[in-house]
Amino acid sequence: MNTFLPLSELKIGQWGIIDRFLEGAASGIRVRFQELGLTPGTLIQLMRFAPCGGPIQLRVGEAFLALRKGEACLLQVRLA
Amino acid sequence: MDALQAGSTEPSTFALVGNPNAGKTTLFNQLTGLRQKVGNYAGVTVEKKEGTCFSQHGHPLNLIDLPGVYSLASNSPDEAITRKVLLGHEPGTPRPHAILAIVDASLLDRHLYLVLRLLELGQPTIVVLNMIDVAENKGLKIDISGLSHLLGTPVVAVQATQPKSLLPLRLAMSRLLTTPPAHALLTIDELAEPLQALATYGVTHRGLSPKIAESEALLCLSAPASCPFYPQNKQWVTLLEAYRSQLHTHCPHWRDTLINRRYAQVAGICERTITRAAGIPKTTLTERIDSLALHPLWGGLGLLLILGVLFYIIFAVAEIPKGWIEGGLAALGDYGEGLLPVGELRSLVVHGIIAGVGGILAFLPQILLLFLGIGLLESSGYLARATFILDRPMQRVGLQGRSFIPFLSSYACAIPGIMATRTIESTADRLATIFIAPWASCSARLPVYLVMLGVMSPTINNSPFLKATCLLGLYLLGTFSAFAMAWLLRSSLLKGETGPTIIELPLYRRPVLSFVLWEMWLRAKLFVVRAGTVILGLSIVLWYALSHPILPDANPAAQLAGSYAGQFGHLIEPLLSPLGFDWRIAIGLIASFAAREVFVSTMAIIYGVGTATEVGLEAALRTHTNSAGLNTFTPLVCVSLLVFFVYAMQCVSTLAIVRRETNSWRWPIFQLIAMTAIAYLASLIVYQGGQLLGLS
Repeated sequence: MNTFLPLSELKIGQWGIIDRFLEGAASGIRVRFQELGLTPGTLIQLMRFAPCGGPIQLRVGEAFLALRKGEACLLQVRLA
Repeated sequence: MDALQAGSTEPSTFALVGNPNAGKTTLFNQLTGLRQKVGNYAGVTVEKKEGTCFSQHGHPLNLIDLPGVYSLASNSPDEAITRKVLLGHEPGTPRPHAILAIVDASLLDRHLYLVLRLLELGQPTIVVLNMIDVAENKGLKIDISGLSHLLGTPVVAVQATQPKSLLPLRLAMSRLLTTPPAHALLTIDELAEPLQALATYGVTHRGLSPKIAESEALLCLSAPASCPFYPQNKQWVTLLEAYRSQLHTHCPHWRDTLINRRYAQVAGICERTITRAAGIPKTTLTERIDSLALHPLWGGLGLLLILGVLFYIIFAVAEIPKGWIEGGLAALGDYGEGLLPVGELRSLVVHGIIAGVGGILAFLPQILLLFLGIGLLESSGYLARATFILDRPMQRVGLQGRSFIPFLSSYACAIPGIMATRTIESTADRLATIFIAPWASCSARLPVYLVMLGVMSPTINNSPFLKATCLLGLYLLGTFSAFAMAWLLRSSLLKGETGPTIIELPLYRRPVLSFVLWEMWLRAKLFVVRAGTVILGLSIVLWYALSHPILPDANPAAQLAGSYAGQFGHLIEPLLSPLGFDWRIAIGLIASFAAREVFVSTMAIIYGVGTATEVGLEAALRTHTNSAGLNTFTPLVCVSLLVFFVYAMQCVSTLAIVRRETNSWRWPIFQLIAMTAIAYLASLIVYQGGQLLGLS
């Protein structure tokens, strides 16, 4: 069974596949994130959280990206 | 576009374009022999840089190095420069004839997106796979001829740090590029009509090729603000807006569709050209370092420790070479004293030039070590980690992690710091960062801090630890005040949302020492040239104003008080005496508005320091008494003066750069008035409050 959840709720070390942008993701954010490679179907791994609700670090392909939690929760992922 | 044809005398222009931190500037430096600043974080280059190189066959070629971009649609000021130059919208820079698309070969799956976007522009393009060694170390094998075939344009692999590896690139640049890449503009059915209609204008009125005009029209549809002729051409704009709203109704996600299709192309290309070697260790060195450097607890402490060590080295270790320079200058002063006959010339040389300029040169070791530390951090890849750790704390005060690098650079000098804010997309964040940058205690304040701490107490002066602690206190005062000011601005004048924040964490790299040393050399040169020109000039003017008109029969104190500068100092003394400053300090303060470190030169001239037979600037100031027999520089006066220097905006160059970066006089004038007023108030509170508490 597929489990869907916001990207920000992945646990450390978990892998997910980007499913879609949730309502509330403004078109500016959607375009920017996708141009950076966070397109639906992309496999990502949550690496770690910065302390005190800071950004989260992701592995996207060979790269490491950090997003803010408030923006990461706009992305829905499927557990991989 | 005809300039590329054989026989043309005009050299072709190549634009270097690529994702941030792909190594564009390193390649630019290797090709041109120039030495532009490089580092291991996104956003080192924030303006276009031009240079000339020679192809393998000896033809001159123009190169334009551009800030890194993720796409062509973004609107942060640095990325906008790249788009404008590429489209030929930048005044004074004709559209480049060809593009060098620089790609980090180890991140091909991400960087190819921009390459496809660039190929769609229809300009002749060479794709440069940089850091091919890093990709190989990761176990990635790239089929270069296959990639070239799939992209429809030449592809070469290089290591930008190795000059020998550039031969294939120079050869490719030699072949005059007349053929645009065989890569079609990616589009969808719904876009066909709008693109054709909008492109007609570009073709008929601006002489563009249909492909380039369509590509430009596509960009205008995505981001109308990116059109240079957007507000002027009413008819065209009406058409554009009509199509935009039509697309918005019938196909609202057309931009998402294009991006996703392009990434699908990228995935297809990568699948066919990259093979992954088996048996490569899973956790890389970067990941192992990051598990410590980004650890929730150790990461934060580590950052504090790194900054602490950096400042300790500047404050304590640099004192040793500083002593040597001071000793040398004192000997030089003695030599001058003995060589020159008593008179005007000797006074000028010993008390004006050697004291004034020498007082500043003694701080060269501090400046060099500061730039060494910052240079090592910049080229290692650690700065992006600091951005990650500090994003949340910075958000609390209304800034973002991206404000950190500009702010840190401002501890060296506010000018590069303010330039670096171009990477900040949100205008409100950017203006707030520009505003607070001068409160990061820059290297020009160091001489003033060190001298005043030495004057304040011999105990502090003799203990490197105490001195470093006091300095840290001053730095923290400026830093926290800057954050408070940012918060104040972001909740009043500069309200507004912070845009989406994405931080790329690059692989750690061993710092390239020659680049770091080069940066130090440039800084040292700048510092010495400044001492030899601006400060020398000011020292001579000050020496004259402090020793003229010559009063016959007056003792040195009366001569000083009666000089032009002395008279002026007395005139403004009432304004500054509530802060504890007498007329001598007043002269120094006024002079320091040209540049902060001139305060030290002025004090050295006023107190006639310049020879070893005298006691040295700090002791001279400490023991000086006024006509009533009281100390001029009591500890409380020193603290008041230090606080004034923490806050006051005393740098003409910073004001000029703020004017340029904000495109108006409003911000620099506001900064000058607000910061000076705050400095005055803070000193007033320190001095008057201290007196009430019975301190002196």
